[in-house]
Amino acid sequence: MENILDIKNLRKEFGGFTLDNISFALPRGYIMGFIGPNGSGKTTTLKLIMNLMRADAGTIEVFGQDHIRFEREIKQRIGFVYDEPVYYENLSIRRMTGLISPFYAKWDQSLYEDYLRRFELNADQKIKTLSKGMRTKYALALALSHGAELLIMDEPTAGLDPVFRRELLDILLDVMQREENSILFSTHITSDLDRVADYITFIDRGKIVLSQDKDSLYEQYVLVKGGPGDLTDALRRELIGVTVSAHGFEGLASHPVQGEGLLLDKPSLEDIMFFHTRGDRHGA
Amino acid sequence: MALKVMVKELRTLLGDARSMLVTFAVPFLFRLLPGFNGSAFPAILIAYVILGLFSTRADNTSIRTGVTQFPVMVRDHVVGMFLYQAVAVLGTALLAIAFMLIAGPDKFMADIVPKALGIGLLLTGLLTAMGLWLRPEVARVMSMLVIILVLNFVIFQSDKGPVFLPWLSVPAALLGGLGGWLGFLALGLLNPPRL
Repeated sequence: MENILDIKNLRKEFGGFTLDNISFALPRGYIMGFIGPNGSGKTTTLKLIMNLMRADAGTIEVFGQDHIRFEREIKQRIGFVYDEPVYYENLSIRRMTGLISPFYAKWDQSLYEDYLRRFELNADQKIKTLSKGMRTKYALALALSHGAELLIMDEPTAGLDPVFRRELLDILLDVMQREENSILFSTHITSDLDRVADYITFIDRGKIVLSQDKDSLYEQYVLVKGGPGDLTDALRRELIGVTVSAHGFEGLASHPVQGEGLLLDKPSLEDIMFFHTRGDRHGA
Repeated sequence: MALKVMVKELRTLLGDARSMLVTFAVPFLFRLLPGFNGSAFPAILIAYVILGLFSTRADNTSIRTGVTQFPVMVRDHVVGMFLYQAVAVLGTALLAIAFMLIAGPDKFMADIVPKALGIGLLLTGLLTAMGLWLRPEVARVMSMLVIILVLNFVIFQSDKGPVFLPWLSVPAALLGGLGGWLGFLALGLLNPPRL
């Protein structure tokens, strides 16, 4: 399977934070959810991919090419949607697009206008009057109108209402069905990924916790629940993280566990993220 | 790609009537004020335009937009911004020459446009570099301070004699300005902004 994005042993140290030995790969034609709590290193990793920051060590290949040596060529084939897209605020959508489109060799104006209609964006509206959701839609229209093969989205759903979040995810699924695109979707709202992601890469405190396909992730991990007396020391050692209350406990295991009175369930991505990052503290 | 960035910046400026008016028309209104209507007006015009251009386009927010929303390298953006500012200063020098021809060249100090152009190139290099490295608020304050100092200096040169800055030759002003601009460009490329 061809990898559209391949990151190996990436390292970046700055301001007391270290992104340490980051490695993962995104195969062509798939959506990867890039999850982790706030401040875990998601945006830093994406900035490194876009060469907005320089790595201390490691390699990044996009479309099989070095991301620094072939930066211009690579950026022609990438669409980027930021959490807070920044444009020239005093311009209208039409004028802003008029500035951006000449930079892309494969700009498709009619496709762009289709997206504007579909997203119900008025080309004469000033950028500064756009809501967060409209800005994200506009960023997406731009990203999808120059034949991008890889969409990189940094927290695109953060701060959006559930209706628009759902609409955005439907758009992404539609794009994936029509073309051989790949998407790297960074978010801390893991429920968004339950619907759309094929692969999950989980980063915490600058380190990759896991990177694998979503189905095997769900098969591998087990949510274990039990009463107050069911949490033995042996069971506790088998759990990645556990929360204990007066009514019982809930924990995550990376393999099926056995025990009388235990209830085993399929964890959500949120469960997996929670118990990896916070479970130890709660279970201590 | 740097040329595309330069053209993009010029198109943005030319397409924004309010910025154009504030940048290029206001200095002519200043001619109604004492000090601004002297024989050094072309130099005041160039200094004011540099300030106007800087405060509208060359700060860190604009850089963020430039390198995140356009498929360019940071290097392309840096070179494009320097070129844009230089072209705008050259255009302003031509505007100053046109104004002098209309108003009567005798009313203005000799050598004023080429010398102001040289100093303007140096200044624009300095301000563009500051915009790359400093936080937007700091860069704005610093640029305003620099331009106010320069404006005051130029205003005090008015009617001091027939020649603008007689101790500076035209070739030295132009070569010094170009050298300074290239120096700041080189520094900008060696220490590009990181977002």
